[in-house]
Amino acid sequence: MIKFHKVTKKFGTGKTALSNIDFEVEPKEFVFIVGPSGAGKTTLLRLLTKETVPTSGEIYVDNVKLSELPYSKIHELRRSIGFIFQDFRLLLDRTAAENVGMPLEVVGVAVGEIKKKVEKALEMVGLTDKQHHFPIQFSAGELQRLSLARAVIGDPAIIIADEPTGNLDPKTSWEIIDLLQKINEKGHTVIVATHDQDVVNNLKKRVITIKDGEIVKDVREGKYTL
Amino acid sequence: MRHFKAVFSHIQRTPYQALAGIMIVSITFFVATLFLFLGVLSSSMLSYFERQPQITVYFEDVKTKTEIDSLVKELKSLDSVSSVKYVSKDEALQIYQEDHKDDPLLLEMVTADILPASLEIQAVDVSKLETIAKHVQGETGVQEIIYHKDIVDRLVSWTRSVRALGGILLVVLTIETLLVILTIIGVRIVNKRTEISIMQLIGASRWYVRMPFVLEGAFYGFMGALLGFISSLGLILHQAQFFSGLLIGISNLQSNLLPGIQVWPITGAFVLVIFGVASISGVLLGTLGSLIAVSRYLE
Repeated sequence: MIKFHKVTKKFGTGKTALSNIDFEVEPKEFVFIVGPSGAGKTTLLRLLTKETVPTSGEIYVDNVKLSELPYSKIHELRRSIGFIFQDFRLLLDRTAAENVGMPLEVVGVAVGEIKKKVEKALEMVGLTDKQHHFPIQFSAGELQRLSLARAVIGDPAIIIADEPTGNLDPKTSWEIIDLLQKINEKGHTVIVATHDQDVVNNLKKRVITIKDGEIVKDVREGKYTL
Repeated sequence: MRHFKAVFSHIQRTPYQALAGIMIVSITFFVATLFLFLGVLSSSMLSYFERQPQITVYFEDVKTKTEIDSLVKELKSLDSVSSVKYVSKDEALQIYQEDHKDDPLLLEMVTADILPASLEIQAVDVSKLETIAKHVQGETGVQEIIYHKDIVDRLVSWTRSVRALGGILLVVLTIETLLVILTIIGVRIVNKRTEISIMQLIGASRWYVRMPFVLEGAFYGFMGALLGFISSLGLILHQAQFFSGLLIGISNLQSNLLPGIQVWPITGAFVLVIFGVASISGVLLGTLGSLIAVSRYLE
């Protein structure tokens, strides 16, 4: 499903963010990407969505070679991926329902259909009664649940979460991780970049450890070790 | 529909920016439509006079009707003349009264005595006017010869001036308008950078992101063109008497460029044509300005 083949990313400053990255993720897998700050986790996720391009090497998503994907078709790649960010990236001037429905709105789904799917997604994350509230009226945990509902509404094959628990207390973090596990059980591939040692150690999922831009460990039922 | 909602939400949130954009476009289109009206009028007048090769000969009072009749006979025998019409002092007064029926003060001051009798000589074509004029010049009792060549020459120079002045003003104002729309839309894009990046990440296509900005530019263009058009039409209708005076007695002026459309007195069809040209140009100009902005500010 996802394949990184000898991927290297160097920035204009000369700094090497990632070096010779080589791994594959199978469909329906749950993968943690761990590493210290600045290790290259976020860069790796940005490469996957073609927000940035590798200096050398190849990335494949669903057998699509990203280097051959023209700029005008990037939106098609991104429609197959749902995103969850540490800072939520919700639109503050739109209601919860409008934020969650955005991935469907941009592909031109009918309003009635969007409404039905939004209700279902909000029900999944337990925010049905707050669908007309604006992001400013939500707690951090609720915002992340909202962001999760937005990530899954378009039923993408892959869900990417970049530090999804970074701004949350332990209890709320577990709520989010539980939801991600449920999503994974429904058949979505989930990739989570995180610092959260407790979560990684308890879930016993595949763990890819990155240090100084290189993969130092890739363990099937791994632990958080640096 | 979603894009239109986005446009109106942009405008609602920053009404002063929107107003500035529309007003700048409206100034451009006030000038553009005014010169378009004047350009079509002067060009139609020019064509009207070019199609009517005519000389008017005014006589001094000493010239008798018998002498004039013999001159008419002589002129009619010339190959270069197609028709000759005698206009007596009384007929001249009637024409004068018709032309100035709305100005009683001018009517009171003029009697048939002070108006000269005249001959309206139609030539077979414009090139024969000079020969006919020379022939009449030899006659005694001729006060003045006005031949349409003078009017045509004056109109040609006037039309050229209208085109040159209008052209220069339009180029300057069009560039200014493009820059203003580009700046307004550019500022809008920069302000919405976060929203745009989120939209792009969740799979919005390039055109889905661009469309509200392009439509906003087109909206400014259309509204500006509409306001500019209404202002220039208002000015022309307000100054209708002045324009009638310029038309030197032509009661119905047909357009040479728009077949079958009467341009003076102004008709609904002529107004619609000008409005059509203005609104399409406005939308195109606004769209172009915003397209430049999105290609400049959107990755």
